[in-house]
Amino acid sequence: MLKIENLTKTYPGGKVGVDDLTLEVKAGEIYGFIGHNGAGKTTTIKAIAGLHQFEKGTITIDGISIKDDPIAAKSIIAYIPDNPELYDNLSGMQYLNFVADIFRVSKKDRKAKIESLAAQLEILDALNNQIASYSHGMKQKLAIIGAFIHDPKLLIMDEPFVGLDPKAAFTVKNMMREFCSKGSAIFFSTHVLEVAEKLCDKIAIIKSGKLIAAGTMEEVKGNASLEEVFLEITEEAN
Amino acid sequence: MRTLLILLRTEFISLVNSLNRKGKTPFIIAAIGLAILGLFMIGMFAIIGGSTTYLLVEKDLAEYAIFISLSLSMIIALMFGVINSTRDARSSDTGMLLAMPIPKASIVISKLLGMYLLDVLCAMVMLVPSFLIVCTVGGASSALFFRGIAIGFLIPALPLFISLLISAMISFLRRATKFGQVATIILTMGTLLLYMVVVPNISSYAEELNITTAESITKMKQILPFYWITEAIYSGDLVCVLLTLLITVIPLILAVYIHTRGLNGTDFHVDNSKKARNYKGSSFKKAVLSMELRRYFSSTNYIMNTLFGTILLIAAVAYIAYKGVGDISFLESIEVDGETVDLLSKFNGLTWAAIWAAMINFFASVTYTTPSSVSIEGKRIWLNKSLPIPTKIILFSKLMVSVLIFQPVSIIACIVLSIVSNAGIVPCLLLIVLTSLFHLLCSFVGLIFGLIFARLDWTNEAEVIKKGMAIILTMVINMILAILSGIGLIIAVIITRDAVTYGVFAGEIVLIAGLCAGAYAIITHYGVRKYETLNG
Repeated sequence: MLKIENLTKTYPGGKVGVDDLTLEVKAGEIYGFIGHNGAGKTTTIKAIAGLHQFEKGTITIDGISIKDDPIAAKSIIAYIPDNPELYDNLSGMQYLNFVADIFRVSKKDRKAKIESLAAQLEILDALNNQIASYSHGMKQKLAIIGAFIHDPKLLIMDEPFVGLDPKAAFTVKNMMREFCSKGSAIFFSTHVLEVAEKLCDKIAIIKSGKLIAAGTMEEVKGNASLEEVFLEITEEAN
Repeated sequence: MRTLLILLRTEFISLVNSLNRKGKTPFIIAAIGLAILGLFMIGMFAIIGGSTTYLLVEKDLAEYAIFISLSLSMIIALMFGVINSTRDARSSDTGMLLAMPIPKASIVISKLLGMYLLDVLCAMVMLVPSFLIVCTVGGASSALFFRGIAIGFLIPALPLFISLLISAMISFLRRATKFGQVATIILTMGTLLLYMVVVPNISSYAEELNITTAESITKMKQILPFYWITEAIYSGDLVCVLLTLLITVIPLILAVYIHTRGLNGTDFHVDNSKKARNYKGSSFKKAVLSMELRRYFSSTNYIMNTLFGTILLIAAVAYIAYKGVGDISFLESIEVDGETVDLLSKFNGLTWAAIWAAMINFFASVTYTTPSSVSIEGKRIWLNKSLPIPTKIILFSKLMVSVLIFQPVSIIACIVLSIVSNAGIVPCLLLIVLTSLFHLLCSFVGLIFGLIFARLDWTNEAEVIKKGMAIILTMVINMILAILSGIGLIIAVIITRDAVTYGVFAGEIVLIAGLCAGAYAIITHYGVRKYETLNG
């Protein structure tokens, strides 16, 4: 579903954000992406979502290159940023209608989707309120609904659980599992290693822009805890 | 008192530091810039106040002169107050201050003092020259001068109170209804128009005024509070002094009280949960354009800085339609080779169309949204960039917003002006085509500079709406374009030969269309690439 080959992204000024990164996410997989602050997680995610341009390597989503055909690639993905800056002066409903319009979701489908997802995340009653009045968690929930609205094939999430209350985090985890059980895939970054350990089928660890470990959960951590392995691997990489 | 002084000191330090945000501009340069601007404003107000007073004192209307200066200072203070009140009343540090052991009144006073001092400065700049002229030229006693200065410190309390009431009203409308934004815009534009109509024309009003002292008193009594203040200054009448104290000090106390109540965080919560949800969709391109329009109309700052040309055009067309072209005498006669030529008699519909084109192009050159349309996205740019929207459509939706805020009005203006001046169909069409293309070019110029100088790391949208290289360069280039286009059109007007006028119209249309085509090519190639490299 997602294939990253030899991705290299250098920022103006020469700082290497991602260095020769290669990984693959298959259909039906939940793929966790972990690393220290500034390791290159968000840079990689933004490159996949088409927000960052990169000078070397390829990123293909379901066989479509994000560089060569960004519109086709973006049509089958959804992206949720770490800090969902949304249009404050729109209502939640107006925002969701905008996203549905862009993905050409029919009135019937959008109604069913929005009502179901918003009810699960308990913001149905707030959808007519202005986004400016939302808390960080509510904005995150709205961005999540917007991401699921068009049934993407690949969901890219940057720290999706930040700001969510425990119940909403539980609901989102269930939504993620259900989403992947239908053949779609999720690639997400997180600092919460317990979540990654319980939720992910595969995991990749990045440090200073380089991939230092990747594979199934068992391959990466064996019998130890993910936290121990993460600390050990990242120390070794020094 | 101690906490109030600490707050005032902090406000002052914050003001000084704001001159050197990010440390990029040397403090001294920022301070000199601010001082020059201040001196210009002071000089302008002093000249208006002084000259008006002089004209009225010469007509033996000294008291009325004070009344007029007083009214002017109120209008200016009200204008500043209304502009200030369109911002959110609760500044970002209010929560932090409320959590500290500081009396709420101290917080309010420290916040209001800046506004009050600005109003005092405006009032004094207008009133002091007026008092001086009344005392020296008008022969009034020096006691009037000192009474005037003392009362001058009280006068700003009245507009301050009114602007705080407006602020509270706007705050309520914004939270409780969806018309808050519209109300804010109408109110601000109305106040600015009032200022623009009254202040620059006050001297000619004074010059043409022909009334007796008794008639002037009747006029003053139509606005009783202003009459009381004028009497208090002019004659020192005790009742009027007391009434002045009553109408200035009491509102000031009320203003502090209203603001203190506002700090309690009274919120007008609106329950939208029962409201039906609208799932109606729209087409892809329409969705992108509606989003751009919503973004535009959601910002008072954005609208106020971009819609003024449209408002002025409406005012100008309304004035011309009301007066008729026969009463427009600015081109009635000019001197050619020592002989006075009556140009107006030679004018036909086509000549008028050329004049209207120059006028509308001038308004077009100051009315566009594009220079800040890219930067305004700020950290929300991820949304447009992560959705499957072709960059070209995003950029052209920005261009369309700029077109929509001016061109429908401009086309109606062309038709109305053509009818008023009996221009006929062909000159009217030429007028529409030329002005539309010119405004399109201005918007293109703005978009190109907006892309070149895009800045997404702002914390306050005013940073990209009011300031920045994109805004300055667009303004300069578009002004130059308007002047060049105007020169061609005015030459055609002076020559008053139809063939020349048609030639100028055709030449300008072809030239501007060519420039638009060039700008289109820049946007679709360089612009698209540049937008795709932007990161919020």
